[in-house]
Amino acid sequence: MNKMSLENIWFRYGGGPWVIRDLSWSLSAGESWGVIGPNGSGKTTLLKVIDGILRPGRGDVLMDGMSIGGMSRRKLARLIAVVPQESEPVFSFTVEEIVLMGRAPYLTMFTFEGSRDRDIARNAMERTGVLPFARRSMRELSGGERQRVLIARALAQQPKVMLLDEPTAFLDIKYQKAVFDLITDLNREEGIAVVTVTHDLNLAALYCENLLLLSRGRVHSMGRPEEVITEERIASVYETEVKVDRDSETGCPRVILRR
Amino acid sequence: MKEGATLGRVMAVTICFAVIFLMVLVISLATGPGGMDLRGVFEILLRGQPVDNGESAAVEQVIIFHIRLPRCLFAAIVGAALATAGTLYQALLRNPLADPFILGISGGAALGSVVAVAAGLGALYWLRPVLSLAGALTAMALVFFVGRSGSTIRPATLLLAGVIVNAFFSALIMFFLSISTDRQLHDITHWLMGNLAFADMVNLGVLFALLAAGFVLAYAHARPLNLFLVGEETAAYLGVDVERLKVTLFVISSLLTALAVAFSGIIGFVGLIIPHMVRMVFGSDHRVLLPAAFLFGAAFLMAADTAARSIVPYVELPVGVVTALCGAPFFMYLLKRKHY
Repeated sequence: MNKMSLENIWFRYGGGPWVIRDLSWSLSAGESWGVIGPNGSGKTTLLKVIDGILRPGRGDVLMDGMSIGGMSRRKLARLIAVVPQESEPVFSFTVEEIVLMGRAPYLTMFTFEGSRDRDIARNAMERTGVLPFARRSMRELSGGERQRVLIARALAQQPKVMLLDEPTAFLDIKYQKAVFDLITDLNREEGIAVVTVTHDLNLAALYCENLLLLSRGRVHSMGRPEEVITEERIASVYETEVKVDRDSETGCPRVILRR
Repeated sequence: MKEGATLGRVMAVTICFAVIFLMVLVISLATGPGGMDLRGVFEILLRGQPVDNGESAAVEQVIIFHIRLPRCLFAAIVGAALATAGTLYQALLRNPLADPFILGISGGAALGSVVAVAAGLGALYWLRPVLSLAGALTAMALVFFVGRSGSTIRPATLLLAGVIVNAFFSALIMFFLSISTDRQLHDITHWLMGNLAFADMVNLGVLFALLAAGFVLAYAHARPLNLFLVGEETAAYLGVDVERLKVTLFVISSLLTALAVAFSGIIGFVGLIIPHMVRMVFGSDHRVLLPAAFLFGAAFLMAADTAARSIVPYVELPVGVVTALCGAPFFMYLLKRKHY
């Protein structure tokens, strides 16, 4: 994949109001994007449209010019991996089993994961630091460990694009940093394009090369963090007065709330 | 023990359960009035079917081949069907308490059977399973169409539809019970408790072929099923066509249930506890779970039926009583355990 583009996407659930309105955006190989915006601005919906789980009412998602509407889920799962918000399985699986599931899009009926699949899963676990828990049940892990297992599974899919839905939502600052460091490494070293939905404006500004700011289903603005995160823009989209300054060392924009 | 599936592991577990199955089969064949020792059973099995050559075949030979073997195999087929259906339902509904009867298929089958008896048609022995099967299929169609929201199947809605359909059929069953005679009442109750005495009337070959077809189809979806168990969206992210999978699973598990219930009545607990027992020991991977549950379900019901017809001399207990008596305490224990 060289380029993925969303062209004039409109989406709504059932006959409800439009959740995404006339959204156009494109992602090139190896880029790193953060998607920000208030609750209900369409961030998670956008991820599902990109991955083809939700079909847009109007407009199209194109992969190198081909509509993803015509691709099988198997094929899409080899191109795009999703790291969902944490979900607890009803029945218990081990970490290794969960990560090996990332190989599913490459396997056919009645086949088993081969040694190559196991190597890839093992590398993914090593890369994300969950190899020591490989034989443990998912239920025994903490939120931060589980999140890294899900990233390992996405990595095992060997995708060109990784979509992450609020990967740090329930994590303390140690794991927040660890997860964002990991995402950045994967982006730089493996060349995977990453799109991270987050509510944390400061982490987004610190780690993402580009930001997409959504407001009521439309693109409000996009660009470098210092272009997108400004007092006027954040205040108008979030309807909240904020102060934005720069980190004196990194020059990275920083959003400060005042009482 | 709970490691991921490899071909070797699947084979090892399957062979292990096949051995258990064969052991239970031989013991079951040796058990009954005018008991035999295991060696005798082996000798008879090796000698093969009695041939009609004018002389009277050995009594034991006739007992084994014409009475006990069909009954054992019938119990095995029903047990395997129920355990497989239970495993599939638990995954489809993502609910550990799901069993083959949770979606009302059994209610439909029971109504069919009750109608056959209440209408005084019990004498036509083949009519009962036929009406039963018709009732099960009606219930299945009803649950499917009521439980579907638009083009998708939501487990919670399906479950609710199943409960409603079951309640409706129960009301009809109560109605027929209230107008039936004592004799009919006894007949119906016996059927409702589960009964494997129809064994000599069913064509085991046909039943087994249908069961095997259902199982192979289910096994083809074993890996997607694992993904589905983690979550519907997760499965979709990992390349599974989720809606198609749900419909396929619903149809296979419901048909297996209908098949089992139509001929044997409502034998509880097999479809609930067997999947859990196997899962406790071997984990949740369906590539291991499905064949293990299939064989273990077969062995369990065969053993339960053997117990049902030999615990009390000259009295045959309904096999459903035995499975529930073993199953309920075990399940209470399971519920008290937090994790597995």
